[in-house]
Amino acid sequence: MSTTDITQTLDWLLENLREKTPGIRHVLVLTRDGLKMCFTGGLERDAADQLAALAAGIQSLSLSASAEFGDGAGAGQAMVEFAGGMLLIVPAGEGAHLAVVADEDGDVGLIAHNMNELVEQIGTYLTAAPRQAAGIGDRP
Amino acid sequence: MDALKIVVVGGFGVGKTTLVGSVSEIRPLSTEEVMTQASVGVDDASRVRGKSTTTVAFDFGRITLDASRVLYLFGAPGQQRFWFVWDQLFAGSLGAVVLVDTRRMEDSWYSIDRLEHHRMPFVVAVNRFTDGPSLEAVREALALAPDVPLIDCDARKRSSGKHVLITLVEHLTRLHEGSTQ
Repeated sequence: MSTTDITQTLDWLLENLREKTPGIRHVLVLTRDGLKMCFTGGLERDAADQLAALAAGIQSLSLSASAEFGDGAGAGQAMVEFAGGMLLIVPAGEGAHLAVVADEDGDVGLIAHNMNELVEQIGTYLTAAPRQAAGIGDRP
Repeated sequence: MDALKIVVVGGFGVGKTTLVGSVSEIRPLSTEEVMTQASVGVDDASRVRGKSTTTVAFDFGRITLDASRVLYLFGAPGQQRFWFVWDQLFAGSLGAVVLVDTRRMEDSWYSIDRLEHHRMPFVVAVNRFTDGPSLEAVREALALAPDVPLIDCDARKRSSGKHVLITLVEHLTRLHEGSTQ
């Protein structure tokens, strides 16, 4: 598959996750350093940037919690509840995370199950490789 | 014992995480993540040699200055996409350190504007990567008021970082005494 094909397929899979799971509003794949990779159509571009940055922050704090109080194996699943919605994040492929914004009354078990199922299917495509070396490719 | 919350701000790759890590007496909380290829063209690392990770939430460390004062240090993330974290970090903070790299002075403007907007006292510390301009030239370039302390530092050295923090605490004490007289 070409890069364009892969991007289109990923977009379709994210839309599919949203459509088949009641309560899911937005789906977004982000890099560990807080940048959006792909996301569902209903999410505004600015909101996608915000969601990518804050989800990366949450996963990084989870990783620190795991290092301090767990076995340091890495960030697991994170869930944040707030009035008017909730945010769930699971690790995807190397260097990437999958985030979902859902309705307050969504079925957390089902949403998390479907998210993990998607990562199992296509996690190998949801990766963000490290930069080769600082400085390379920054300037045209 | 007085607990003082202090924030460390400044541009991308200026040494905030290094400063918090070098002065902290506890294992510092660090939220450094590997910079991915998606950041090429977004995060300009061309003038920050050897940088491969970046802070995505905040750094946290603690240092006891003397029998009566302990500082809780919060290092802010540098890039624009994480600026929304700053409001939370500023809440309850008594003062700030602005770290400056003289090769990218313009990266400091946002920090200084934001601190002035919050009316939070601060000191400016030049993390010396290269010789660069004098402190007087830096003061002029950043349009710093004469009463804002401006010093050189090496963020990698504990003694140097500690000196920056002592300068800030002395500045805060002076301001406090000035306001109660």
